[in-house]
Amino acid sequence: MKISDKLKKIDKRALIAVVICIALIIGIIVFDSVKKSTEYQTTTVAMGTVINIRLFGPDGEENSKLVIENINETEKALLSRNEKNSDIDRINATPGTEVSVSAETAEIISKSLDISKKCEGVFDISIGEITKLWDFGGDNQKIPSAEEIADKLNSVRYSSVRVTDTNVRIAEGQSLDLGAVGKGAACDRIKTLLSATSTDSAVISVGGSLLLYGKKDFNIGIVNPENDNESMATLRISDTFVSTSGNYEKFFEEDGKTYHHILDATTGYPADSRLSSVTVICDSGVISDALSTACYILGYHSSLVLLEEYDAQAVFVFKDKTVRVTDGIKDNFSLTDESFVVAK
Amino acid sequence: MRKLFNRIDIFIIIGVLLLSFLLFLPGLSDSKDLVAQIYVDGEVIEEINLNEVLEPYTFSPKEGTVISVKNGTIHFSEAVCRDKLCINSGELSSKGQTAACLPERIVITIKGADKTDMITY
Amino acid sequence: MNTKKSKTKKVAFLGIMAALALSLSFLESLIPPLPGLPPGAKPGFSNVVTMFLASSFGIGDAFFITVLKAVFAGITRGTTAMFMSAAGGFLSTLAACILLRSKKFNSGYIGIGIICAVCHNIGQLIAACIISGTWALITGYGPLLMLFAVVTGFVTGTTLRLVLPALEKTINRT
Repeated sequence: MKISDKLKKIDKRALIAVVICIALIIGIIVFDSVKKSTEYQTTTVAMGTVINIRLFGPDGEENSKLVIENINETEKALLSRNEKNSDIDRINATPGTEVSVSAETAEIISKSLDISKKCEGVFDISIGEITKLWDFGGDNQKIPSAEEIADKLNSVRYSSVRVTDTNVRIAEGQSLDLGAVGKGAACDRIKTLLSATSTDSAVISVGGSLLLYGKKDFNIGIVNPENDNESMATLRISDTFVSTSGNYEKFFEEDGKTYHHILDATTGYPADSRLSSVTVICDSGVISDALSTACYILGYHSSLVLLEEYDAQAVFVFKDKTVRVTDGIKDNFSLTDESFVVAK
Repeated sequence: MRKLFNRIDIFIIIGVLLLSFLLFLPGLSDSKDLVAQIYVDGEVIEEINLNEVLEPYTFSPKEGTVISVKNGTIHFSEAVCRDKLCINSGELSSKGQTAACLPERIVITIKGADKTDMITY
Repeated sequence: MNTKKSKTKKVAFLGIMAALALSLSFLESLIPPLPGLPPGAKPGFSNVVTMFLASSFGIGDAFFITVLKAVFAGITRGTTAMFMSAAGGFLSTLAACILLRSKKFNSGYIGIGIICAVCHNIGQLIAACIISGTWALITGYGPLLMLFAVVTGFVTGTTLRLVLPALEKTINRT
């Protein structure tokens, strides 16, 4: 009896020891997975703009390097018009002849042309000759003469740009400028890249155009047009693209007049708008980027049809500090700066 | 007869402490901003960022109940219920603190401000 | 023993228990409300009485005292307090009935005291949430209420262990 009692006691001790060991092992595994799925955050400069990367999931550091590489590739091989032998540079170098480009470039151009068609040309990627005259943010930034603009305005015609399969041809005298869609295009490409990695979710800013990847909800701040260190509202959204166009991004003043960089392709001059910024949310980076520019130029009422056509949502911030939000994201939107008012 | 205390009791205590900790987790956030949420009848009627309150002020979410707000703190200052328990809850000034006036169905809780993950510009 | 006499004694004993539970409840209500706990939430020291009844007297009697406590709270402290008392008391008495009578659950009295206190506080918390319609109270009050339950459960469990032999002797004599 006594011996069996002792055995029982030993058994119980052994049991406790085993339980503690199992608990420790589970603890270590959980701790390890938590550590792995932690966030990796980095900021760098690429594509001539600031890139903010926040990755959630394992191998954040390696994946963020892939993202940066991918952005540089977007610029150098595809979209930059200043980069020798990029797709756009080759198209611009030989107007009037077909140029074989990557499928990605062809798709970006067709999407842009599609939007031009639907907004009656106020947004147009064949605006290259006009942006060269203004050269916002460049060394030759100046107000072009009315004659110069009238002379080059004829070249701005999206209907003259032909895309057949992966061949692109522009008319004589034309040149393409994909500045308005480049950041969004980079976001689209990053999404494709991330889906091949172990990343769970991510939020990436390519110069203010955002990719929200994965199921995680993010709080996205919309910059205050009057003070770009602060946000004036937040959107709680996930798995989408966000792009903002505003008059505060690139501008210069001359003779008391402000000239901002969002050019109306039908006039060749900065768009005269009651808006100070438009933020567009939709499921394509290129389209959200292009729509934010187009909506800024069109103004609130004309934009609604265009947004509906692409199933996109938007936040309009007016110069008088009123804000209008499309119905689809009303519940995700909240003002954080009380000096703005949501219009009824 | 059972013992007063044995091994199983230790596990029970650990379990309860763990439960307490789990309930504590959702309230955590690394934000320094304190946001007071005021619920009336189960709906948030007001959110106040307590760090941005410059001048102390009071407001009345419901007849007879007065809430006082000043920089960093918020409390019930007047109530119609007879036990005044909500006033005795004192000033709320840190994350996770809660004061409730159950008869009037008014609740104040403090949470960290949602921080912005990224800004679009 | 004459059954009639035994029934009289039982009623008398239950009366004493009821008086004890109510006076403990009353003493508790004199404790100033602690910041961080829901208004009307009480440590539940009077649970010692219901726990004892649940373990050695009768389940029905335990619930009778629970209802009595709630009514008493309702009269002295208002309907809100009544609902809180009823919700907390019912859950903790239920736990006491199941655990104290179980032969398989062989934890000590402190463990059972703590579980009953946790049930008591969870009941009060749920009642507070329902009354205010605000589920945010769970994370607001929950963590502290659980910690609190460890302390009060320790006290009630220990008390029960100390008084149980004496009380059981009294019952057996009747």
